[in-house]
Amino acid sequence: MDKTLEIELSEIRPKVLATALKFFRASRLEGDPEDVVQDVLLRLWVARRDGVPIRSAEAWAISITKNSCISLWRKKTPVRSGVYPEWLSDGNDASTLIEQSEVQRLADNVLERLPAGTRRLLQLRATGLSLDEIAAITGRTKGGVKSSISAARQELIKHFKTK
Amino acid sequence: MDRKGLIQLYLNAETTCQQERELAASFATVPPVDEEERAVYMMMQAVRPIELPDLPEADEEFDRMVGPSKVRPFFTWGLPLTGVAAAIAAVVLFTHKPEDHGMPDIPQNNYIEIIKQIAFLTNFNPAEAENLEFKPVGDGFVMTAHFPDGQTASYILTPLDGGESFNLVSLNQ
Repeated sequence: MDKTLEIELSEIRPKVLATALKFFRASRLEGDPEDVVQDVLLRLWVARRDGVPIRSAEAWAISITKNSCISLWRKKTPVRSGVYPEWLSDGNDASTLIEQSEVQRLADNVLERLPAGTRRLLQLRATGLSLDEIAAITGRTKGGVKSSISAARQELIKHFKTK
Repeated sequence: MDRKGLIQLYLNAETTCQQERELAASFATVPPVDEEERAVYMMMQAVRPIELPDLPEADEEFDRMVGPSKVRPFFTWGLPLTGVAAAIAAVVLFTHKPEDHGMPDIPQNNYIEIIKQIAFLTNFNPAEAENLEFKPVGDGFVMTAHFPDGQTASYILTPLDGGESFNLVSLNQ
């Protein structure tokens, strides 16, 4: 765990939230500014992980927040989407991919039953973030994040066992 | 650690990121052997990493809609207040009649404080006004703010106790 990054994310979080809130009020955009905040902080995490040179993380994050807000405003829909992890599609033959497609359809139905915030925690984890980093991005405690992820996984496995 | 052990840790959210990658990779080589393993496999496929789409370069568009993100107090308050203070000072100087018992002698920088008090008491923001008009009335003056949307707001300020204090009355409905 990169302690510096965790602190950086926590320090920038309120400034990003303030900028997003300002936009949501001014544009009367419906939705949750928290989605923008998490999206921006995740982008900062990815940029740091990939070694993107950033002179001022705060200025960078505010600029990304503005871009993210405008992007959301143009779409008028929340920014949420996903892709298969690379490791899942490596070496799979056609029949496995067809099965995966069916599995994915069933899985999506099960996932939709989770609250959006909990689903987001699972997605952040699947993206490769540690519990500390997820806590910093979502503004929750590490213990809260861990118990939410654990509860969600216990809940999901019950549904998948019946499929 | 074997796969069963990893699965228990995974369900309790006690796995590291590396262990979760190992667990996922193990399903690519060894298929799930029972109901629990199959359920975990399905879950791991269902929860996908977040994709971050490209964003537009939209700083300017944002600023047009919301205003600059960094507000410098001097330019939002300092300049208008300085202008207001200068206008009031001009009104006072040109209308001052020493022989009358009228306008008290107030240091110029006190007018800034007066405007701040008007703003504080009335939710009036001089930075939002298109222009400010001052008319001497008796010992005091009437300040009328004209806003871009055509609305106006007027306040009458009269000195009390020889200028030690002021009486502020809003003339708005």
